[in-house]
Amino acid sequence: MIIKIKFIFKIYFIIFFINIFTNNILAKDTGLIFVSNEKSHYVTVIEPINLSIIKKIKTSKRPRDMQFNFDNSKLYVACGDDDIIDIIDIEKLEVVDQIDTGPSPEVFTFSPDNRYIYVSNEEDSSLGILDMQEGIIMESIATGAEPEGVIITKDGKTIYVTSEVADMVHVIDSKDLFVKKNIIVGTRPRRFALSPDEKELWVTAELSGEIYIIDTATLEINDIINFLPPGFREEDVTPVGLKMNKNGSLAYVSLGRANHIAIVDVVSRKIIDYILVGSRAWEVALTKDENRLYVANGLSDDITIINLQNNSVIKSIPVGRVPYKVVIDD
Amino acid sequence: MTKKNKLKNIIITLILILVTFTANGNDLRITYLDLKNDYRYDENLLYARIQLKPTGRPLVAVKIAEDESKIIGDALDVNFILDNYSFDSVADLNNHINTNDQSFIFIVDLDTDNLNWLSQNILKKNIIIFNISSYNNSLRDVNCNKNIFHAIPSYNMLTDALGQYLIKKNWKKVIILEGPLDEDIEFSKSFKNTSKKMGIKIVDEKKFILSNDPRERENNNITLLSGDTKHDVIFLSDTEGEFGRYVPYNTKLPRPIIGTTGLTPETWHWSFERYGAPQLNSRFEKKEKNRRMSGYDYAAWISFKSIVKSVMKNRSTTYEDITRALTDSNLNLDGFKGNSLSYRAWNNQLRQPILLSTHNALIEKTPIKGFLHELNNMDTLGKDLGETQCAF
Repeated sequence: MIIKIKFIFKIYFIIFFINIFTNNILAKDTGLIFVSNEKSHYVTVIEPINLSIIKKIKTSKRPRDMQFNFDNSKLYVACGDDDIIDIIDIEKLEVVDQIDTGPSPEVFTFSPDNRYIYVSNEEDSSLGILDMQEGIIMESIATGAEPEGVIITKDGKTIYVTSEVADMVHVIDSKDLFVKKNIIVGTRPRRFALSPDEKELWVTAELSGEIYIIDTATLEINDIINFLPPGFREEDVTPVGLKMNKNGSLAYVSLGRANHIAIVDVVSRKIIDYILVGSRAWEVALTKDENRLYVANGLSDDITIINLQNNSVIKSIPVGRVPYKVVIDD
Repeated sequence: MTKKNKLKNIIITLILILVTFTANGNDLRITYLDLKNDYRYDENLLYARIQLKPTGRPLVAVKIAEDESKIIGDALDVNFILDNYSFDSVADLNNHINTNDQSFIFIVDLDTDNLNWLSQNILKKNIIIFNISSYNNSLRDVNCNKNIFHAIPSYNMLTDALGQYLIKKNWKKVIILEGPLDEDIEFSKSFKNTSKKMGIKIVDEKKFILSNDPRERENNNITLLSGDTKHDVIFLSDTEGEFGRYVPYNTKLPRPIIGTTGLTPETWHWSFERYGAPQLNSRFEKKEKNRRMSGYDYAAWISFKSIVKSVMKNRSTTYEDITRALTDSNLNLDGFKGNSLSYRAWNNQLRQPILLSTHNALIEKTPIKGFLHELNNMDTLGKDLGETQCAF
């Protein structure tokens, strides 16, 4: 009898824990933080409450850009050295599928109707267009050498791509797949942000240490922002990562070797604050409630978490080798 | 033919003429010149893969720069055209420059003696010449020429880079081992300057000769040459490279070798993994299957890129505008070494990081953190404005 009761208790406990476990995982907006590590070939998963690492998901070689699909059930990870996009299932926290890309995929984005992936193929100097259903490369458009940042407008009609080597932004018509215009910007352009009304396109120019602001109607350069955190020189300032908040009032910019994040007031173009983070601050991610900013630090192998209510650093967490991007499931 | 069709034909012809005219109007020719029999590209020498030496002719690297620049040319409406010619002698090469009325920009692959001769014998005015393979200090100093831009670093820059590393590691006692060639003497003289500047102590200086003669053992036996004097490292100056290959592991005391072998100051390295370097290396290795990109290839590549960037800067292809941009400290040239590069106005030397490397790894990128300059930290490498004897 006692044995039987013990057994029932055991079963009960097992069911209880499975319940807790699955409830946690199945719940949408887990808040989980995902970090791709270029040199250790895995994605680090961090839970948001205690900020502890709960899993390292093995991927193909050199994971870099990551994007969630439309319902956040899958995380797509571009793996540069295996010419592949790995697909991670958010429930299982493992790679469940793959899509072949062109050589060396770096940054990508989905079309608004979720039919296509637009991916910059660094070694091939092209923008590849992948059909998500068929899992095949439909077409590719030639770009300047080392294409990097890719962003698409909400109506899906225009794609912007940077070429790091050609110092320009390509404006691409997504329907007829041709380059409408090349806009020459600063040296080594990297990433984009579109203002919420899509009237302004912001692009970081890493080596000239600037942000170029392009008027999307005229495709002319409207403004240039320079950065200089206290105690640094122009040559140390290498902006890369860039995010704008939902109402388009603030922009967060990582300054690379200057080891700082800059917060910019979008309307006045003024820099409100500089926050010290890790070495070679690279990609930035904002939580949905816009209370926290996550920064991947490429040369100190960690991420920094910033409290945006008082612009202070909460903590830095060691991850894998050469962290590239942070995304949050929220 | 109807009247309408006739009109259409005329319009089409007119458009065609216009298009051809505009295309021709924006050609910018960049001419690459070298010598047919250049001892530096001797097959046996290349095969030995000696550190700091070329791995092959750098022309291929210029072609990569040309490819990278096509799309920029389209956006700027400029055709960057690469021409290349090889000559029997530097006199013929000079003759070509003086009589070429199509181009005023030349990338020349010449050793120190030939480049010096060229520098003193060019007649043509308003030209831009890029030096891609001579490290010689005097060409940037007492023998400088305002038409010559140096894409390759000077010996001064190389030895300053090594000096910074010795200071960082606190390896301050050095034996100099110097070869008989003029370039060997120039390189070790440069290291002596660095030592004086940085407080590195030269505890002994020896001259080596390349021979097996037992009577010359004091000068050809590495064990005897490396000696007993207390030292941290040996600085080896063997610009030919045949002796130097055998110095590591043959010394009397177990000490590292720096200079032309061991830890060498490189302009470029195939193992460099940051700032877009792997992409450039892979573009190079796609074109040139049997070798890796050397510092000379890099200098050739960046010469072409310097011109493209200068044209982007002022949106002009005239000699005056290109020179103005080239000598602007805000050139913002991307050299794939993580820094924004430009040319020193006082001697036309490209300021750039130097990569301290072994045969297969990058040990340190210089200027090393902590070596500060009042204006630009890259100017801690090589002759600064206050030190130069160059007067254009």
